Amino acid sequence: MILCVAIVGQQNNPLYLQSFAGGDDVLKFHYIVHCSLDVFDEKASILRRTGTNLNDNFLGLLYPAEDYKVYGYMTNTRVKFVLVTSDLELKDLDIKTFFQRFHAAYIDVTSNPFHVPGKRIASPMFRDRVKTIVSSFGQL
Amino acid sequence: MEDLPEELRTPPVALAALVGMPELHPQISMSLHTEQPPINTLALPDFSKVAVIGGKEGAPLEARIPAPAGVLKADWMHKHRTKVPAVLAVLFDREQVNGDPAQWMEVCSHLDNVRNVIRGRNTKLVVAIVQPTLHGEINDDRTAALRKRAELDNKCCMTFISHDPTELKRSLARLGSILGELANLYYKEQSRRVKARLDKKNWTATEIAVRFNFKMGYYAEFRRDWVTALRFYETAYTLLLEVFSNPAETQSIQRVVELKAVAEQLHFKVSTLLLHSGKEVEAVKWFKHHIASFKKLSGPPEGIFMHWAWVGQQHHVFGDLLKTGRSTAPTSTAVLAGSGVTERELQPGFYYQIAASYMAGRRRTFERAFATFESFDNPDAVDVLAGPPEEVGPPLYVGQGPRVLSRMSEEQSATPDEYMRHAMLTERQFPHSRAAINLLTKAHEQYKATQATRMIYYLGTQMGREYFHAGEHENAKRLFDTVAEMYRKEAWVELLAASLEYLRETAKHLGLSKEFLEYSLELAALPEESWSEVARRSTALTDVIAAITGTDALPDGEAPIALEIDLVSPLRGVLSVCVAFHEQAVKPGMSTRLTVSLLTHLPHPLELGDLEIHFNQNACNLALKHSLDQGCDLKLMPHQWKRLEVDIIAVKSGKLECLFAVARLGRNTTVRCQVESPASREPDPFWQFEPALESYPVKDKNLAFLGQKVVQVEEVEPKVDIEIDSGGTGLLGETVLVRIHIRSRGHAIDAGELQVSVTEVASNDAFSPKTPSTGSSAACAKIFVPARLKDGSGETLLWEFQGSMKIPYVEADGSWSTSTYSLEPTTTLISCGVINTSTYNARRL
Repeated sequence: MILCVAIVGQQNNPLYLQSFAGGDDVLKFHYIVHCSLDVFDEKASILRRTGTNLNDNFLGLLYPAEDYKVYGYMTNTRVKFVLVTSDLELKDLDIKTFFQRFHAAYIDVTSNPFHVPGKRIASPMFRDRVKTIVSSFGQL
Repeated sequence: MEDLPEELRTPPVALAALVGMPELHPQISMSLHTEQPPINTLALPDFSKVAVIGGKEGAPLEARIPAPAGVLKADWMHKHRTKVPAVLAVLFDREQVNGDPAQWMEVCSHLDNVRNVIRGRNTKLVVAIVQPTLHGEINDDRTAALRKRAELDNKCCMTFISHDPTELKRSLARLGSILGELANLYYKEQSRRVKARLDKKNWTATEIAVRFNFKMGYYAEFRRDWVTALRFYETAYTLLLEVFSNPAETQSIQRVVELKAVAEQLHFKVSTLLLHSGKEVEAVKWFKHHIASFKKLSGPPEGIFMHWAWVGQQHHVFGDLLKTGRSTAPTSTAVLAGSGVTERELQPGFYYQIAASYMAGRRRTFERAFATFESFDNPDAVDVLAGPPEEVGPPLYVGQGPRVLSRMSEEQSATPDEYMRHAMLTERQFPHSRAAINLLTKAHEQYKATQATRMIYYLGTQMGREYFHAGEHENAKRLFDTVAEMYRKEAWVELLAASLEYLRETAKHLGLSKEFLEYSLELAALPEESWSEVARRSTALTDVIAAITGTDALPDGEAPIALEIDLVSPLRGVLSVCVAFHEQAVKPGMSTRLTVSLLTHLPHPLELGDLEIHFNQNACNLALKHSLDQGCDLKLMPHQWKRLEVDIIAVKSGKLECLFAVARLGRNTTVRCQVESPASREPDPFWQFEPALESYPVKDKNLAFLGQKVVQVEEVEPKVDIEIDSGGTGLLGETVLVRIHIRSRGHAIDAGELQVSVTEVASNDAFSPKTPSTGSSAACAKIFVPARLKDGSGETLLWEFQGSMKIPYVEADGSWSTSTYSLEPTTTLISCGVINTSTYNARRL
């Protein structure tokens, strides 16, 4: 089950975070997503050190957090997408597809002339669209 | 990990017993201990003590095994490591063996006695006949008789040389080799024996299978056969899961606790063996499997705190195992690829941190359970399991509670109520917060070596919470202050808000009114994120702000609070002041307009009692008072600029800069806020990411982008202007016309004197202000004034001029001009510094 999705900006500021877990655990997901930025940095550092070019936006499993798994995806403009799931047996391909759809939704919302890039996303339409993507993933 | 018994934490070492010739025991013990593999020694001082290694006769293979009272016997490992030797070495003195019949009979008697004792346990036997040196004969008949009597092989009956160093060494090595070989054989046979009983299936309870597999694993460890040991432990673990087939909630707490304690031991063995064989990834996978299997088996709700204690302990122990067992070299990414294990999971800090989380969960669930327990428990009831050692004995089986020795053997186990009461009262003494802090400190030490900065801050948050719960508010405040900086920097509103909530409480507990107010205001001024489900702004917070901005007088003895907001203050969201002069330069005494813009992000309107604007010229300071009657509205609406326009009259020339504004909130609080220029204003780090439309502090677009908080105050207007017009460039030796204009400003000039001088200046200095020097100028040029001849011809001649020129009356705003000529005998230029000259002369006037 997808418990939380988030978008983090270039300055590591949160742009969007939606929890599907309910209850009082929302704050916990904020901590999980924030800590996952360390792994983004670690992966970027490894790539720099080895001189490898990142051809794939999907970074795979970032780290497990107690009962969850945290996956990451980074756009070419260093915007980060994070997925927190409680399903421990997910296939990478499914998650990658999810991120691509999530990314497409993000592109659409930032293409809105009334949206200022870099600002928090507060669009209700985007929220509904993310919810649809998550539910179509069969996890909601 | 230190909580686990020693016999579980360290691999077992084969045990050999020695009897006879006690003077040789220390030497033999030391030698056996340095053997590879080492052998521990149980030295029996004389034959009368042999009985201690005896045991009951093993049950026949066909015997039916009843359902056990527990899974693993609590002292089984300890017993086999320290009390049940695999092999017994009997040492006889040669003189005794070769001695008279009485001595021989004594030897035989000892041997028979030993054989009777060890028969039940299948302990191997070695007989060593000790003689000082190689010299001297041993009675072969008696040796053979001994061997026959003990039913020993030739190799198990050896000669031990005790006084020849070389031979002693050889004898010790030989004895060690024989004992090691026999010990190995013993443990193998024991294992086979257990296996045979297992295969007979004369048991119905799966617990027996668990126990037997555990024993076989442990026997394999005695033999250092790690692969076999691992296999048996894994089998035991799998069988234990079958024991747990019934829902945990329907089983008694004692039962659930016992089974999980057994699982812990089995898991510990498996993990240790995997890690020591370099299979870190497999160990992590196994741990995940272990947690996944047992985490849901929490048991009855009243004992759930014991479950979280257990889960936390698993993480803590595994972290310790990784710390001690993992090789220092990082696991290659190739090994991790496709394994489902991340590098983070190979770090001990990861497990310490989770263990600390469970410790907090343990504390929370215990507090709830204890409240219920207190409500329903009989206040007169006694914790019988906390009695003295003579009344309360250790458990018979792993994971079971203590026994009440004063009862009949069948009733020694505690009743569920007694067990629960004991657990509750024991848990009450447990320092949860301190334990969690220790775990978090260990995690912090581990993470420091990595780049996981944010994780370290998260650990700081958790540590701060625990300090808060432990009542150590100063430590909590110190930590939360640190982590709040990180969340401010990266604009994580919810995380900052959570830290500020704690900071408010710590400030309240420490009696820090100012800090409490600062944290409250900062919290209130954070963006309310519509997509967040975290309810942050509580009614209490609103009340606090209302109290600050209200009119309530301070309690007696409490000083008013003065807040400071500079350009990097986190309180910029509470109040920021932006000022812009409408002009860039102004004359002294002239009025200039200043726009003062105030902004608050507090959720409620903020009414300022009064507002003082301070400049670097104190005379310009002004104070505004909130008064709707006088058209001065100092009520700030949330997120909207309040723009006030005031006129400022600068007094002194130079720079006039607006420095800060002081706003009064209610009667007791003032806020000193450093002002900003619209041109260089930095947005609030939290609000800059908000999707709301950005408004400018000043309506005028030019001022919004270029407005400054500084205005240049020019010099005072001169009362008299003197202009000198030299008419251009003159040639060397040429007489040049110089016109002098005197213009009065605002008043009439009655009379005056004008001193004209010519100075020599360097060409590049021509326009620089310079006060003329009369002394040096005389030499460089002569000045002539035209004068009409008195002969009536009307001709005008030039007369050399010396001294001061008389200025006639000049009416207000009128002017007077005259002409002079400069004869330049050398390379001299007429100075064009007319302003300075005029100023100078004006002063003379």
